Order: sequence, then structure tokens, then C-alpha cells
Amino acid sequence: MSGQQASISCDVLCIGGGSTGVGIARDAAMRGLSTVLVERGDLATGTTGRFHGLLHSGGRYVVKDPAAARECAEENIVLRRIAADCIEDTGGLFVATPADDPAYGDRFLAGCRASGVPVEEITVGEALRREPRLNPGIRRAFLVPDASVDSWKTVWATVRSAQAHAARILAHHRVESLLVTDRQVSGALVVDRAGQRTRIEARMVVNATGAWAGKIAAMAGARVNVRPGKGIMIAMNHRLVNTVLNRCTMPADGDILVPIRTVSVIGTTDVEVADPDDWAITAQEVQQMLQAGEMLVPGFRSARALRAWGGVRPLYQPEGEATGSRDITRTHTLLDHASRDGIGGLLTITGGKFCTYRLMAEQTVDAVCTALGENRACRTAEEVLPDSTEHKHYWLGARLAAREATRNSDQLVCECELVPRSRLLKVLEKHSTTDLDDLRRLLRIGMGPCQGGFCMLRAAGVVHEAVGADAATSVASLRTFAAERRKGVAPLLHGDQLRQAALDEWILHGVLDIDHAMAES
Amino acid sequence: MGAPVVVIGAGLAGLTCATRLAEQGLAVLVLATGQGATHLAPPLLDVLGYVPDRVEHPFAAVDELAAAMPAHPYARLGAATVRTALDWFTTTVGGFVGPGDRNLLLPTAVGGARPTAAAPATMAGGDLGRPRRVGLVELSALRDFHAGLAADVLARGGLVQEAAALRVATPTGGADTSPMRYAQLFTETEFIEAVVAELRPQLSGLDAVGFPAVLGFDTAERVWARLQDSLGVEVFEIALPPPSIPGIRFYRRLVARLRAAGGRVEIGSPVRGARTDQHKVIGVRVATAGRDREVAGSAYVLATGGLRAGGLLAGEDGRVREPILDLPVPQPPQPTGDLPVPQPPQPTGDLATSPVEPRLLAGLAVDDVGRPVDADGRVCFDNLYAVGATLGVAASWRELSGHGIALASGYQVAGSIMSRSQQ
Ligand SMILES: Cc1cc2nc3c(=O)[nH]c(=O)nc-3n(C[C@H](O)[C@H](O)[C@H](O)COP(=O)(O)OP(=O)(O)OC[C@H]3O[C@@H](n4cnc5c(N)ncnc54)[C@H](O)[C@@H]3O)c2cc1C
Ligand SMILES: Cc1cc2nc3c(=O)[nH]c(=O)nc-3n(C[C@H](O)[C@H](O)[C@H](O)COP(=O)(O)OP(=O)(O)OC[C@H]3O[C@@H](n4cnc5c(N)ncnc54)[C@H](O)[C@@H]3O)c2cc1C
Repeated sequence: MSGQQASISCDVLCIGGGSTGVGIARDAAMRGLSTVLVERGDLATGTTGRFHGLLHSGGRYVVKDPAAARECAEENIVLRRIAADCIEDTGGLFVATPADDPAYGDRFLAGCRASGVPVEEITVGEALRREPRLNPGIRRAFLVPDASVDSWKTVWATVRSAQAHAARILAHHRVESLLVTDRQVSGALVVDRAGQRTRIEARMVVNATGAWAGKIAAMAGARVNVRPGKGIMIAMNHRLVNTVLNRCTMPADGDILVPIRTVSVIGTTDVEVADPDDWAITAQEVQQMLQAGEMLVPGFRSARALRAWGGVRPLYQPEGEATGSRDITRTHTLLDHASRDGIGGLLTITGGKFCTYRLMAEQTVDAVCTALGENRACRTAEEVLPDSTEHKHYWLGARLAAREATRNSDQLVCECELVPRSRLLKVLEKHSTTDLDDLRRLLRIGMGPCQGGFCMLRAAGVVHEAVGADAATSVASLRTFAAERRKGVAPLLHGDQLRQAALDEWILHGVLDIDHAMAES
Repeated sequence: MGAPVVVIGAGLAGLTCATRLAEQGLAVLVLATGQGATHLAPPLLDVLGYVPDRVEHPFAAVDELAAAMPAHPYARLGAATVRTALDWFTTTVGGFVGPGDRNLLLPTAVGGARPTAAAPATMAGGDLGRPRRVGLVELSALRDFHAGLAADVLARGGLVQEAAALRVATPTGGADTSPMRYAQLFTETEFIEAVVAELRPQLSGLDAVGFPAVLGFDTAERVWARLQDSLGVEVFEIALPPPSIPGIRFYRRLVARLRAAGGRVEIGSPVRGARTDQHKVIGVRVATAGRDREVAGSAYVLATGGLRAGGLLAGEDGRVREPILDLPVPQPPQPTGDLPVPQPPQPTGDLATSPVEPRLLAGLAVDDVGRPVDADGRVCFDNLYAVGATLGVAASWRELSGHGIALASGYQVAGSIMSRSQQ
């Protein structure tokens, strides 16, 4: 074993840097517990960074899963209060398309009332006035407080709040093993990117690894049956709608269209996969999504599909029950391995949704406090996240307005997402990353129609200069970014997106020749 | 005069073919939706750059490639035609260095070293063949060239003795000045003098200075010579991502040459379809304001630029088709069901080893004289030819052969048409 292995000790070690994990780190730190969070990759690179972007009103679950609906309805109000800046208040519509049974609308209305989801039925004419691209054949329409939410912004803001309360957040630290003696967990051994190992001792370990929770629990000898349910989404290059659209039916595939900034995202599917790290998008799934989009917005297919991605739901299935993955409850599950398996010092929190992340954290940290015999109250529902203190929601024109104010003094790095140089520099100051793919998650650089073809070089140039990076690092970052972007468009290469890909190939190889940069050294 | 040869597309391939024909006295009409890759691509006359190792002797490499890949456009054209076409082009428009027997090696905007057979004189001075101390100029309001990054990468590549970033902050009236606007500013004496004044104190110990390629349109060569004079060092331009100022320069010259020889060019005239009989194309349908009109020609050249330019279209099912005549297109291998998506959370991608997207290789197959053929090798139409990026098989952006293929195929088809018109 290495002699210089570092060690840390704390009250709470949280494993997993998705929404659930960072929520827990913030909550625990705010309650005065010394807290460390470890994440194997960058923050929000698991399911949290690959979700659909919907702040649920609860409407989707009112008929099938009323408990989940009620939680969503309550947390929707809380998140609008504490994370206003991460939310665009688009509102949501549930519509009965010609293929849906209009009678479901009655069950839907009753369900909303029973679960506390605010709802109003509006006329078809009103719905079409609000969303002119909507299928004119719809038969009923209901207005609910769905919204569009940015998980990256939320995670970063939550992390900054946690750090302000003295939590330590360690990205790129993977848990290799848990420290277990006599059925008592006392911490974990983690390894960073450079292969450096750290031993973290904790009074309580929280497993918040979502779809990976079974793997971490197994390290302590516990069995947690998490069934990874893969879903795919496709971003179209227009804001085809300004309101979240849901089909008013039992949850099914491809029945939600979410406007996210300048694009709209259709999703999703639900297919059980063997391993949360191993998934693929099939040509048939792409077709299925485009077809589904057509049902909500006729002409959908003629918009340009920009990028496809998949995420894996953490669906917990109690032992002995067997159901299809769409039928597993969408509420979360908190497992105390002491009472469940006779293994002390370990909690597992899995399942749930992004929009209930705060509630999940509250319940988890309550359990941590109980186990530690501490009595500390949760304050996360009241204390507003940094950046949201003005209680203003994000709005689509924000970047353009900011841009117009500085158009003669600031340079635009990414036209598609309107990212100016000054913002890039600010983010570099605030976050200790120079990786272009991390910057994409922070700023949306390279997420528009050109998929990085034009802005990649500019961003690399600015970053290189600002942080004094060395040549090899900057070139590697460019290559990785280009390869990543390419993978996202691979399932969609037809029509205009193929032309764009051909142009990007020419820029990368023909003009810049980035494959051979520094080949001589 | 009889019906003209109708060339569809105004990229390098179509214009080369048209100019050759007009020079020989044939009536030529170029119909194009818009400008081609000339406005996007630097006018580096690539023949072959990588196979996949870096190519030193491009023409010798063409013959080797031809032997190894019989379906490649070069296999039919041969090194001699490629050479003749490049020589014709460089003589016709003037202002080029090369082609010689060896590739030049030019610095890229990210500090790479890129082979090419011939380059405009304003760019060729960047050749990294002999080690020098080089300065790279960053124009403060130009976002597509970052001298710090390019200089560090170039220095790391080991082909220069030294690479330094030089800064020019001469005001342009904004923080975001486009290459087009910079090109215009470089026609103004005052601006040039201010740039020179800023650079002079930064030059000590340098042998050569690289500017982003925005030194103007028609006046670029004079500006370039003037900068060399006033700075007292060698000056060269470095290609940028689109738009391409030097590309536009040579497009203008080529079109002027074509017009001077009697050729006609209509930009803004998309061809939407064609009328044919069993053996021949009888006319093409051009969409112009108000109504479509039919244009009849003695021969037709499809120079519509392939998948990137819209000359070929890929459907959702992955099939590639040719939209004007629905010509048979040899299909790329179909992707099999599962496609890869990024693996969270630690992406590591290596472009160099990543496979070429097969769909991008789709394109027409042609006979010895350049006429599209079907799967059995039968000529589709007796008087229809295809040139440039409409031809399939070559991964030109990887092997660096785009302009070589465009020039050689355009040149060769002009020859085919001339020899048949004399019969
Ligand atoms: C297709 C799809 C669409 C969705 N859409 C929505 C929606 O619109 N609205 C909504 O509210 N919810 C949505 N959800 C649900 C929501 O995204 C997830 O429930 C939520 O993001 C889960 O967060 P998490 O933190 O629990 O998991 P993750 O975000 O997956 O975080 C777990 C983390 O643990 C890390 N980890 C794993 N192993 C280790 C290890 N050994 N060491 C250290 N770290 C490790 C992983 O890298 C990962 O980052 C969607 C889910 C899917 C799949
Ligand atoms: C960014 C970029 C950089 C490049 N860099 C280099 C380089 O450094 N070196 C190199 O050798 N190559 C380079 N290339 C490639 C090279 O430019 C092309 O391979 C080559 O020029 C193709 O020429 P073309 O005439 O076949 O097509 P294009 O130049 O694409 O022209 C196609 C023409 O057809 C027209 N057209 C299409 N459809 C119709 C229709 N239905 N009716 C009428 N007109 C139509 C278009 O409007 C256009 O005028 C680069 C390409 C790009 C995009």
C-alpha cells in the first residue's frame, strides 16, 4: 500500500454527485455536520446531467402514482422559491391527442385535485392560441404548473451553498471500496484521476449513487435491487413550443416535449438495461421519438434533430416483486441497512426524481441525525440558493438582453448559446476546471446547432490563455470535446444535421488538423 | 452558337470545368444555388496529406493510393491528370506557390502542421520545412484566432525554434469584428500603419510573422508585400475556420477569368429537376423568381458538391440520394442497430482513431470519362457528367484531397466534353 495515502475524517460521507448527493451534502452541512461528498466523474454527469429537464407539477403521476404526484406538487413550490434562477416558468399543458382517450381527462382532473396539483381545463382554442404548433386535432387541454429546470445550474448552486457551509466536494473521486469491520461501515477508500488514494472515515456513509446504488451497497455486503431503466431524449433545434407539453394519458413513451432554452427536447423511453454504464441508442428508438413528436406537433420531423442522449433511471425494486420498469413507483426509497440488513453506518437513497431532490435529501439527513443521535432541524426549504436570491426565474431572452448591453465591448464565443468571453472568464474563475466538456455543462457552450464546430476553438483559445494551460492539455481537451459532440450526433446523421457534421469534420480536420497537432513532439 | 454546356454548381469543381471549356471556346452556363465551399475553405490545393501517415510526395502517393483503392476517384484520374489540373489552375489564377514534388507543411489556427501541395503565396511562407523563430499575430477583436494557444502548440510540435504570440489591439469599432470586416480594414492605409506600429516593438529576434488570413480581398497580395516591407520579416497568412477570405479572393479571380472567356454564371439559380429521355438529359428545371424555367444544354455537369453542399441528401433511413436526377448512389454500409453514445462520466475520445462516419463517404460512381454509372457500370445518361465532391469513396477531410479531386475531376470532364464535341 502506498505510504502517502491521505486520510480525511468527517461526520457524513456522501457518495454520488448527482442531484440527490449534492442535496444531501448541502443539507448535512447546513445542519452543522462535517460533510464530504465524492463523485467518480464531474458533478452531474450521471442521470442528473442526462435527464429531460422537466420540473414536474405532479400531473404526470396523479392517476398512476398519487404519492409521487403529491411530492412533486409540494417540491415544485419549494424549488420555485429556493432555485428560481434555475427554472424557466413555462407552464405545462396536458393534451388529449386524437390517439388518446378524452375520458382519461376526467380521471386526470380528479387525480390532480386529490394530490394537490393545481390544474385548470382550458378550451382547445385557447390551447392552440397559446401554442400554435400544437396538433389542432387535440380534444382536451389542461394547464398545470410544469416548468423547465436546469439540472446543471441547480447542482452547481447547491454545491456552492454546501461549500459555503463548509462541505468538501470532491469530484473525480471514485469509491473503490467501503471500510467495513464487523458489519459496521466506517468510511470508504477513494481514488482520484491521478490514481491517488484517500481513506475517508465517516460516522455515517450515505450511498446516493442512483442507478449505481446496488454496486456500492454490494461493497458492504448488502443487496439493493436497482433496475436501471434507460430513457432516450432528442433535442430539436427550435423552440417548437414555449410550454411543456404532455400527453394526457397513462405515462408512456415519447409523450413529453420540454422547451429548454433555445431547443425543445422530446422524450422519453423506458427500457430495462443490464448495466447503468452500458447503453446504446438504437435507430429504431430515434424513429419512435420523432414519430411521437409528430403526434404533439405536426411537422416535428422536419425540424432538425440536434443531438440524442440517454439516461438511466434509478428504479428501486423491493425484493421479490416483479414488474415492468414503467410500473415501479417514482417515489424514492431510503434504506437503513442497520435495520434492514444488520449493517451499521450505511444508508442508501435511490429512486425518486430530480425535482424531489431536496425532499430526498431532507429525509436522508433526518435519518443520518437519528442514527447519530443528533437533533438538528432541516433548513433547506427556506434558505435560498446562491444566484436565486432575487427570486427571478430564468427567461429565454436573458442571454440576449445581456448580450445586447455589451455587444460592442464583449466578444461572443458561442453564437448558438450566446456565451460571451466575459462569462467564460467568470466561470473559469469560479470553477476549478479547464475541461471544455465541463464548461459545456456550465455554460452550454457547443450545445446549439453547430455542436461546437465553430466555438470549440474559440473556447479552447480563451481557456488556454486565461489559465496558462499547457499545449498538450488544451489539445487533448479539444479532441475529447470534439469526439464527445460527435457521439451525440451519431444517431441522428441525416438531412441538415449530416451536412452540419460534414462541415464540422472539415473544420476540425481540414482547417485545424487537430489530430496531428504536436505530432512531432 | 448552339446550346451551352450546363454546369450545375459554382464550387471549385464546377468553375474549373466551366473555365476550361470557355477557354476552349465552348458556350458555358453555370447555374448554382449559391456559392460553394470556396467561401468556406482556405484555397490550399491539397492532393494528398495523410494515407494515414503524413504524405511527403503527394503525386507519388496518388499513384500508390490508386493501386490500393480502385474505387477512389484518384484511381481513375491518375497522378498525371491531378498534376496537370493543379498546374493549369495555378497558372490561370496566379499567385500560388507549388505544386512541387513535396508537400508544404503549413501551421494551422490551432498550431498544428498541415500538409498541402500548393498554397497562395500569402500563405506558403508559413511552411515549417525549415526551423525558424515565428510570431503569431492575435487581432484583439477577431475571435477565431488565438495566438497564445496556436503558438504554444506550434512550439510543442518542435518544427519551429520558437513561437511567440504577438498582440494587436488596433481599434476596429467593436469587440467582435468579423473576418470580412477585418479584410476591409486591411485596405485602409491608416489601419495598416497602426498595426505595423503595434507590431514593430514585438518583433525582436523573430524571422517570420503569421497573420490570421484576413489581409483583404483583391488587394491582399499588395498588403502582404507591404507588411513584409514595413516589418522587415517574412509574413504569412494562417487559414481560419469559415468564412474564408483567401477562398473568396480566388473565387473572384476564377469567376472573372471564366467571364472573360465568355462563360456565364448565375448564382441564385437552384436546379430542381431534369427532363430526360432514355439516353440523354434534355433540359434542367431551374427555380427562378415567379416560375420554374427549363434550360437546355448540349451536355450537363453535376458539380453540386455532395452531402455537405446539398448535392446529395441523406434520409432518416440513412439512404443517400441525388435530388436532381435521382441518380443511383452506391450506398454506404448501413449502421447496425445500436449506435454508440457517450459513456458517463469520463469521456475519452480519440478522433484520430475514431472511424470515419460511413454515410459521409457516399457519392456517385462514374465511368472513365466522368459519367455517372449504375451498380452494373452502365452509363446513366450519355451527356451527363459528375465532378468534385459529388463523387464518393474518398474521405477527403481526413486524407486531405478535396481540392485535388475537385480540380482534377473538373479538368478531366472538360477534356471529355471537348473531345466529344469535336467528334
Ligand atoms: C430519461 C430520464 C428522464 C428524466 N426526466 C426527469 C425529469 O424531467 N424531471 C425529473 O424531475 N426527473 C427526471 N428524471 C429522473 C432524475 O433524472 C433522476 O431521478 C435523478 O437525476 C437522479 O439523481 P441521483 O443523484 O440520484 O443520481 P445520478 O445523477 O445518477 O447520480 C449518481 C452519481 O453517483 C456516481 N457514482 C456511481 N458510482 C460511484 C462510485 N463508485 N464512486 C463515486 N461516485 C459514483 C455517478 O457517477 C453519478 O454521478 C429522469 C430520468 C431519466 C433516466
Ligand atoms: C470548411 C471547409 C474547409 C475546407 N478546407 C479544404 C482545404 O483546406 N483543402 C482542400 O483541398 N479542400 C478543403 N475543403 C474541401 C473542398 O472545399 C471541397 O472538397 C471541394 O471544394 C468541393 O468542391 P465542389 O465544387 O465539388 O463543391 P462545392 O464547393 O461544395 O460547390 C457545390 C456547388 O453546388 C451548388 N449546388 C448544390 N445543389 C445545387 C442545385 N440543386 N442546383 C444548383 N446548384 C447547386 C452549390 O450552391 C455550390 O455552388 C474544405 C471544405 C470546407 C467546407
